[in-house]
Amino acid sequence: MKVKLSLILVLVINFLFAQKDADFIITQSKTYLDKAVWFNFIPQYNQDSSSYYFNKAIKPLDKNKITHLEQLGNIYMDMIIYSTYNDELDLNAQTGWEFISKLPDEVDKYRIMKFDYLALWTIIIKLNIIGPKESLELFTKALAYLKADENEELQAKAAMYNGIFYYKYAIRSEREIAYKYLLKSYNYYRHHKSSENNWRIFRINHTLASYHTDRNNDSVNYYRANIKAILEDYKTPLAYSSYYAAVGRELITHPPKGQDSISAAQYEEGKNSILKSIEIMETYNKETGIYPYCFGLLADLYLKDKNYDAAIDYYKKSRAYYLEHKNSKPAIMMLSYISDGYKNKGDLVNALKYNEQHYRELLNFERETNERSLRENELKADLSNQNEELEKKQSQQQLYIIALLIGGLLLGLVYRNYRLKRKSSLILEKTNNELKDKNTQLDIKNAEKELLLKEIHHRVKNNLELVKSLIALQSAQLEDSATKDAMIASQNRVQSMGIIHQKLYQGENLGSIEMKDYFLNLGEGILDTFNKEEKVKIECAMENLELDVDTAVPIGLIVNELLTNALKYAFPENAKGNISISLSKSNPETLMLKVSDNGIGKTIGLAPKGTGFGSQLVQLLTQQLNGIMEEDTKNGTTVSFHFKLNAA
Amino acid sequence: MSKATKILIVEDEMIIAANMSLQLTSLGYEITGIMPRGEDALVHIKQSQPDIILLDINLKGKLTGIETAQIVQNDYNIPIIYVTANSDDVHFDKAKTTNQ
Repeated sequence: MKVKLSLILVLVINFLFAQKDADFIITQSKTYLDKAVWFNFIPQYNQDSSSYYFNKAIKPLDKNKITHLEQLGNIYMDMIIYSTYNDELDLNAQTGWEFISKLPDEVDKYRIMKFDYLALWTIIIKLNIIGPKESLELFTKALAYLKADENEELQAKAAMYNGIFYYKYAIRSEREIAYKYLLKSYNYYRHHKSSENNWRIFRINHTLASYHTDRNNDSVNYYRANIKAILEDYKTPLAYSSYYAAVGRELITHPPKGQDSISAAQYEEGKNSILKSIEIMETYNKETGIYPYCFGLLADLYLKDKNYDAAIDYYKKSRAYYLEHKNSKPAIMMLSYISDGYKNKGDLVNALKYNEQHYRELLNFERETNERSLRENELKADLSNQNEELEKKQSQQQLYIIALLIGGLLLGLVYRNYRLKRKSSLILEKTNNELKDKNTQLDIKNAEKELLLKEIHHRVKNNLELVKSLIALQSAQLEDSATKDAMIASQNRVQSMGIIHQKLYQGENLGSIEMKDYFLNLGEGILDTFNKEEKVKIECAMENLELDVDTAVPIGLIVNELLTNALKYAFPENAKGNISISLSKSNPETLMLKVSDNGIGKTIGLAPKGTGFGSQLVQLLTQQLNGIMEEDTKNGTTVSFHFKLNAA
Repeated sequence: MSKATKILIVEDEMIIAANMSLQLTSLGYEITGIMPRGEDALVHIKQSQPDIILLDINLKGKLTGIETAQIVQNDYNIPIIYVTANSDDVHFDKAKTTNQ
C-alpha cells in the first residue's frame, strides 16, 4: 500500500515538473519574441538582431504540442507584422502557416488565429510583393474561417483586413467598399487603443489618409494627426518614414488655408520633412514603398526649382526602386515624369522616347490588368459573395437574437399565463368540487322532500278514499233513492279529488297532473258507480296536457258533474252512447274544455231534473276559474267552457 | 227586527265560500256575494256595499287579500275579517298593517 502511494506521489511530481518544463519553454520563447519585436522599434531597430531572436524564440518549441504550435503562430504573426518585406518573408510566412494549419479548427481561438494569419499574410506580403491573384486566393481562404456570429472585435479586425485588401487590390470601382470597411474598423479601434493594436491603428489611418489624398485635404490631415498620436508608442521606421513623407508631400503640394501659393519657407520645411523620411529609411530600413515615393517628391521639388538634371535623376532612381519592389503602376508613372523633365530641359528626343515608353508600358499594364480582372472575376465574385453572405448571416443572426428575445418574452408570458390559469383553475376546481358536494347534498335533500310530498299526496288520497268509503257505507243504510243518489254523487266528488292526488304522487312531476290520463281514470270510476261500462263509452279527444293542482281540482270537479249529469239523463233506458271530453290550451292564458254526449239533449222549457246542486257547483267553480260556460242541447248535450287563466 | 248585516265573502275556494255563505245565511246574515278574486270583490263593493268583509289572504287573480284590503280601506270604511290558514308571523304582521 505504502509503495503504491509513494509511486503515485512520484508520478504526480513528475507530471508537475513536466508541465513546468513545458511552461518554461513557452515563457522563454515569449521572452525572446518580445525581444525580437523590440528590435523593430527605433532607436534599437535592428533587423538582424530581430531575426536572431525570432529564431531563438522558435527553436525550443516542440512542433507536436498544441500550446507550442500556438506560440509558433504568435511568433510568425509578429514576424509578418514587423519584418521588412522581401521574398524570404513570404517563405517564412509559408513555414509559419504549416505550423498554424495543424491547430484544430474546432477550437475557436485557433480558427480565428488561422483567419488572422492568412489575412495578415495577404495584406502585408502577398499584395505588396507577390501579386494580386495569389493575394485574392489567400484572402478567400482566410475569410472562409470566419463564422457569422463573430464578436465585435473580430468583426472590426475582419473589416480592417477587408478594407486594406480592397484598397490595395486597387480596382477603382471597389474603392468605396474599401472605405466602408476601413471606417468600420476605424470606429472600433479608436476606442480600443493599446500597444498591441498600434500596428492596426497605424495601417487603418495610413490607408484612410491615402484614400483621401488629393480628394479631401482635411481628412488627410485628420488621419495623419492620428498617426502622429501613436508614433510615441509605435516607433517603427515604417511609421516614422511614412509619416514624414506624407507631411512633406502635404507641405509642398498644398498652400496653407486661405492662401494661393506656397512660400519658399514652406517648400523648405516640406523638403526637410521628406529628407528626414529618407534619412530614417536609410538608417533603418530602405525596403519600403515609401523610399521611392520620397525620391519622386524630391524630384518634383527639383523640377520646380528648374534643376532638371537632378529632377530627372531622382525620377529615374524612384522608378528603379519601384521596379525592384514590383510596384509597376508608380514605376510607369515615373516614365511620364521623366519625359516631362526632359521636355522642360529642352531635350525633346529623350522626352519623346520616355513618353513613348510610358504609353507602351501603360498599355501593357492596362491590358494585363484587364486580363487579370477577367481571370480573377470569378474568384472575386466568390469573395464578395462570401462577404455578403457573412453580413447577411450576421443580420440574420441579429434577427434570430431579436426573435429569440421576443420568443423568450412570449414564452415567459405564456408561462405566467399558464401559472395564473393553473392557479385559477385550481381555485375553480376547488369551488367546483364544493359546488358538486353542495349539489349532491341538495339532490339528496330534494329527493327526501319529493319522497315526503309523495307520501303526503298518498295520505291525502287515502284519506279521501276513506271519506268516500264512509259515505258509501252510510248510503248502504239508506232507503230513499233520492238520498242514495246524492250520496253517490258525493262519493264521486270525493273520488274526483282523490284521483288528483293519486296522479300527483304517481306522475313524473309532483307539481302538475296530466289531464288526459286523469279524465280517463275519472270516467272509469264514474262509469263504474253507475254500472254503465257496457253502454257508454267515454273518449278523450285531446293532447296530453299538464295542469297545476289549483286548476286541476276545479276542472276535475266540473267534469265529474258533467259526466254524472250525462250518465244520469242523456241515455235513458240503458241506451248506448258516447261521451267525449276535450281540454286544450289555445294560448297560455286560455283553457278550453268541452264535454259532449250524443244523448237525448234537453227539451227547452222543461224544468230541470234533480236538485240543481250539480249545476250550482259547476257555476261556482267556473266563477272560481274565471270562466264562461256555454250549453248547446241540439244534438245531444255539449257544454263548453273558456277559462281565462291568470299567469300567477 | 233590525235589518240583517250584509257580508261579502272573498275566498279563492268557491265551495268553501259557498259553505260559509250557507252557514251565515242560516244564522240570519245577508250574503251580498262570494268572490274568488280581489279584483271582482272591488267591483262588487262599488255596486253593493257590505257591512263586513270576510277576506281570505290567498286569492285567485293578481291581488292578495291584504292588497285588496288596502284598496278597500282607501275608499270605504268597511270592517274586514281575515279568514285564512296563513297564520304565520309574516302574514299576520302584514295583515296587521291594514288595521286602522
